[in-house]
Amino acid sequence: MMTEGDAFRVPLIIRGKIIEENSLVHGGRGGSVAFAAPDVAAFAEGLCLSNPDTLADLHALSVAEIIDYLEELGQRLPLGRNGWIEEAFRLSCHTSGLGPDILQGMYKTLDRQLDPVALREVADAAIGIDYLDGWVERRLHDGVTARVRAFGARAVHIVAGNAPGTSLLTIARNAITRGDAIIKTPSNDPLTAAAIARTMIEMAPDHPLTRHVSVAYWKGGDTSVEERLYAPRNIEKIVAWGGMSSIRHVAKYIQPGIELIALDPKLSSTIIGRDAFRDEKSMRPVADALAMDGGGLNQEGCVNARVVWAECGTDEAGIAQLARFGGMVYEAIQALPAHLSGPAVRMDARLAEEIESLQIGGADWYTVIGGGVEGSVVVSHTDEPVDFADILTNRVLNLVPMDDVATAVDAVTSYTQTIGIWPESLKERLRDSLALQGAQRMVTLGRAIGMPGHGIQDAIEPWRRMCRWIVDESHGDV
Amino acid sequence: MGRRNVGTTENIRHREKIMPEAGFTRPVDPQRFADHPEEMYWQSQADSFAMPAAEVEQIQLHALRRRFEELREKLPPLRRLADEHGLTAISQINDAAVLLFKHSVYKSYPVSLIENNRFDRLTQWFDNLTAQDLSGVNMAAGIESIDDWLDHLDRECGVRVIHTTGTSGKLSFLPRGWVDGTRQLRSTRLAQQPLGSPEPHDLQSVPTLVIGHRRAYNGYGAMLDALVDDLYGGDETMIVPMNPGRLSADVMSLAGRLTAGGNRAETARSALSPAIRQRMDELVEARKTAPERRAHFFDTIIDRFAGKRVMMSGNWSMYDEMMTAGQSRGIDGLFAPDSLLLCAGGTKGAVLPEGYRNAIPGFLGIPVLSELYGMSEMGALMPKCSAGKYHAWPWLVLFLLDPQTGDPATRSGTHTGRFGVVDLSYETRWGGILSGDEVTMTFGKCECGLDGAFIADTVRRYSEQEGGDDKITCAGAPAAHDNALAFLAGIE
Repeated sequence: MMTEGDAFRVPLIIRGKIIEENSLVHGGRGGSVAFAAPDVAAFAEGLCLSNPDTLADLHALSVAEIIDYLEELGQRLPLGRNGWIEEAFRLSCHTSGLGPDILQGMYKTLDRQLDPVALREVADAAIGIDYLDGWVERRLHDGVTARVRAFGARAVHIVAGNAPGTSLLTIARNAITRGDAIIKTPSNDPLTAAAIARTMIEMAPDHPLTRHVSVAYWKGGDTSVEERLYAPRNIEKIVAWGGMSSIRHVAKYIQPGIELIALDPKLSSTIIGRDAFRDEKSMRPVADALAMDGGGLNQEGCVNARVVWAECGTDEAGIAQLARFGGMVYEAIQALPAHLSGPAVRMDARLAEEIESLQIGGADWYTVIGGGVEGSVVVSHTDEPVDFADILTNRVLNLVPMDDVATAVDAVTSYTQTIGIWPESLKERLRDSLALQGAQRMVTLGRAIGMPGHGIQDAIEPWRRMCRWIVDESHGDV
Repeated sequence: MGRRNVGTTENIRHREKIMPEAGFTRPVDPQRFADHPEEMYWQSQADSFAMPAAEVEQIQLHALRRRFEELREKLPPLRRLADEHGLTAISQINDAAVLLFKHSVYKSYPVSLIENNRFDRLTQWFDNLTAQDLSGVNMAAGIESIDDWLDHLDRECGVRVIHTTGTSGKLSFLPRGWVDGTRQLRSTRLAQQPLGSPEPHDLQSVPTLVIGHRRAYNGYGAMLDALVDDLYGGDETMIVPMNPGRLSADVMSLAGRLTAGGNRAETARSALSPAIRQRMDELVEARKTAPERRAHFFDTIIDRFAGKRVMMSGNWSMYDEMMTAGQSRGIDGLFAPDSLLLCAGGTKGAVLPEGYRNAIPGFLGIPVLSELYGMSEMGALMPKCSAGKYHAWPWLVLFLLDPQTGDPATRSGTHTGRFGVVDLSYETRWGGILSGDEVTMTFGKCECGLDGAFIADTVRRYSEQEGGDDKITCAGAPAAHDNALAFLAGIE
């Protein structure tokens, strides 16, 4: 067991105040590191913001001022300029499924996420800056005047830890929507949100945006914290990333007065039309683009391709062509630059076992190209994905042949987030059917792992839903 | 081909009927063990554990080579695994550590073969895992379900299949792989005999109580069938099950697939045949009344069998449940002290009251509850000694592997790591299997006096250690998985 002195220290931050005493040691991810964090239960009363009136200071800020603040924050964040971020990066190297090169790239470019042009674009597209800055008047058909304004909310954010950008995105969303955020950090990234909050404190200790961010680590499900915090007198919303265990902990607290914004875990896939498989020359660029969707960021994200539907035909010739294509995809994944992709940091033991067993016992149904920490491409010989498609990671793609794209459309479920599609014309043809089946984002092949500023995520608009939409009606004097 | 009538005297298996003393020791020739390790089964427990460790090691090395050479040409998966590791010959026991199958080899078929009733192709896949010839199996004979398929292989091909439920609800299929059918009864006997005690006798008149289904294609179900056929002379009434029906493999498989189907579950359901849908509905209905049925069964046990000699298998949490039911009726010392009750599988995750290890045998009325360690892939479970260690039979070659690298520990001293075993008693399937258990294994002398390989009573699943963390990620679809597990837990 590590002692507290050996461990990384994760502070508790409550609205501008940094607390480091009264620590508990938590086991880190991957079995290699532990971290110490203050016992949040001892500070739970202070963490609650029971008087919503204190949000008034935020609402005196304009969106322009908020974006200026975020821009300045962005300048201070990149790795190399910031000791707190440096520490978060070092801890992440122990806890993340991403390798050090990829993490370094991400921490070096944190400022890009706070680009003022992009922030303004998403604030206006997803919410409307005029609604954020004041009351927007509308005259209704019956003569009533309605004035609508987007107000901030008090919210707990249970953030995902598979990439540091999640913590920064949460802070940016909270600032733009003028909320009071209590960020519950995950054990696979306990420090990034705190590092950003400390930077805010250093930059502008008394600024309302600084004073409306709290960051805490407690073990999900700890009732000594959650029973006190999750009550309508303290919060209005819970924004929960993550799967069953994360949702299960919060579900019992959902009641009138607390809204759940669920960013469920999702999986993504790919559909490739038949023209790609004409010859070597047509396959190569498609393989390169697919490698980025499937192998980029080590396939740790929900946006990454996992099952790839290929309209190459299910006859012998089609499968042989798909195997050649699979070889190209495997090569292209190996050739991805180190800041975008690398060998598995931690192998998923169950996945490794499933793949090994296919190689040993399932050779009549599947061809496995590659293997081990470098990743692999599994080519199905029938128009069905492997039975363990839900757990594909570590740069393992499953190529599935089909005679008709209808097979791919049928396979889409409500768990499907992004679908990378080649060619563009096929995307346009399929998008309505895919959406009805449950898919949430259709994207040009090769561009799945980016997320531009439209503000849409998981078929909802989290920016918009984080606001409280308030109306003032005028019916004329009585 | 008619269906087997469960619970009637016609329910006699294809095997030759044998005398009631089946399952007892037979004369054996130790000179033959190296070439025929399966014959060690038939020596007495005392003789098995009295074999000097050095001699056992020699026999094991020879027998390992022999099994490997015999089976590598007949079992493509074994050949592929050996090729992958460049292994052409076994020069020392630890060389075979790379030949342990991961459990998922036994479910490396596409699940669509089952969904689409392609039992011909499932048989082709399964044929790779057994040296028994299935090529002549007539699959045109109206096989429409997994249950049919299992019955067919059992009756027409002499291949008893053991299926287990994987974490995803996908079934794995394991050929039992014994040419000699009476070995199942012998295996049961070996488990029932507490370490160091004499062979139990006169069991043909001792009933077996079953907290579960009468029929199932799992290790337990194979044991019950062997008892009826080879011990009770076909007399079904000697088995007293809580549920006289069958634990249907189709329903187990369906439950997993349906709950794993997300928003497509109803579509999947509408594609089912009416017969299977009905079985599914019956099962869901049965689950609702399960608590009452269990309570009723415990009452039956108490009323009919108090003070009597019985046989029973279970796990700690099952016996604890019985104890709670019995104590509420003021019962103590329930059965005759020479009853044969065994316990395997630990506490199944339940938290039991303090002192349960003493309280439960006391309630049952027996001096000691025989505890065993093992898994479905092993033919005989490892009995626990007076020092609380589980000992390996001489035909079980144990391996202790590094959970990260897979490297085997040296075959001396004490190590902690992943449990692996080659069960040399299997002649027609490869007996090498890697478990998901973390164990502390010693190669050497135990406090109890036995010499050889044994493991401590500290077994835990690697998956349990990895679970319960607080990692949150945006990638995945875990809900279905959890639902399937919860549902399946309710069936068994």
